Amino acid sequence: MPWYSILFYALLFGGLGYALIRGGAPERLFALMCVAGFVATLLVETPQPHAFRHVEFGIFFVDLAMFCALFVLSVFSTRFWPIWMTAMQGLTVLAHVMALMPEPSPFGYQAMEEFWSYLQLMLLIVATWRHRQRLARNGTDPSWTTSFARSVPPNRR
Amino acid sequence: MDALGIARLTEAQRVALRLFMERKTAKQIALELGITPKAVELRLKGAREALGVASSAEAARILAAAEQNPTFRETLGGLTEVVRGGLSRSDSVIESEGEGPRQAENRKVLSEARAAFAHQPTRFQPGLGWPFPPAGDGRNELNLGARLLWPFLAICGIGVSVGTLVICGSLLSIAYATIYKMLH
Repeated sequence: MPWYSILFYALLFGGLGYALIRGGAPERLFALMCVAGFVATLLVETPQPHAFRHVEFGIFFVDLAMFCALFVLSVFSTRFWPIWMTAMQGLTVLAHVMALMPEPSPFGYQAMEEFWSYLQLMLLIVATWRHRQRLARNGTDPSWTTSFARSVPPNRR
Repeated sequence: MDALGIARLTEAQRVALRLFMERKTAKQIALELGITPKAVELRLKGAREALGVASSAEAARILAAAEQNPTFRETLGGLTEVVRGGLSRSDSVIESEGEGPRQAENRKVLSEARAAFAHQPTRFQPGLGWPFPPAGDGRNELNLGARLLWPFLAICGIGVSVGTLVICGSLLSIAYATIYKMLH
């Protein structure tokens, strides 16, 4: 197994385990999304050696579904990290455009498609760690905003 | 927002921060309070340490934000009393020492203050804001428009940055290869 695969699985199991056990509601929710996305990708991916030689529609739809779910999370969460997680997921979705290029490179397509998952898992670990820090400091860490009904500048209230 | 940090501030430090928020210098604050500028500096330094921030402006902003919040203002008195009583220790320490009636009462106040703080309404920022956590325990208080827009702006930003890096890397490698050929 190449070194980057070992790194990926270490981040996947370490990061998701840490977030599921020690994270707050948004961290746990994202970890569950990742588990679902990982399993769905295994089910829909084209077997090697034919993988990433054309648009991987199965993986594309899994990525798109995760992007939509993350977008909803970033709208309702009191955290900042889902914004960046959504952006990275958006770039993962955009990576599928590489298969439409005149001379598609399966390796380049796969690398662009998988690159952001490493950063997403690292961000999840940092987000969970920051959640624990706030919890230790304040004894509480709110997960969600209550309502957007108050979405007006404070000085106009 | 660091609730316990704010509760740790002494009244003198809070007064100094409020005056600092009015854009007064240490000298002006000293004149107003009838103390030396050195004493003002010490109060501001103490406040910065209590809140764990690097600048007095940031400390003043945190206090002002906390004092504008009605829920937080109501609980600040009780929380301050608990912290001043030396009871900012963790619950496990209180338990290991045995719990007297005063500890139980203080623990109740602290727990109520924490719960009220946790359920304070979000004060959504006007305008676009920045998608980064501010100093302290900054919650995401971007308004709905900013939340809808930022993921797409971030995609453009990251995409352009990575694209620029790739192009620069390619240009550098071409330049390196050309120079290498010329030299050999």
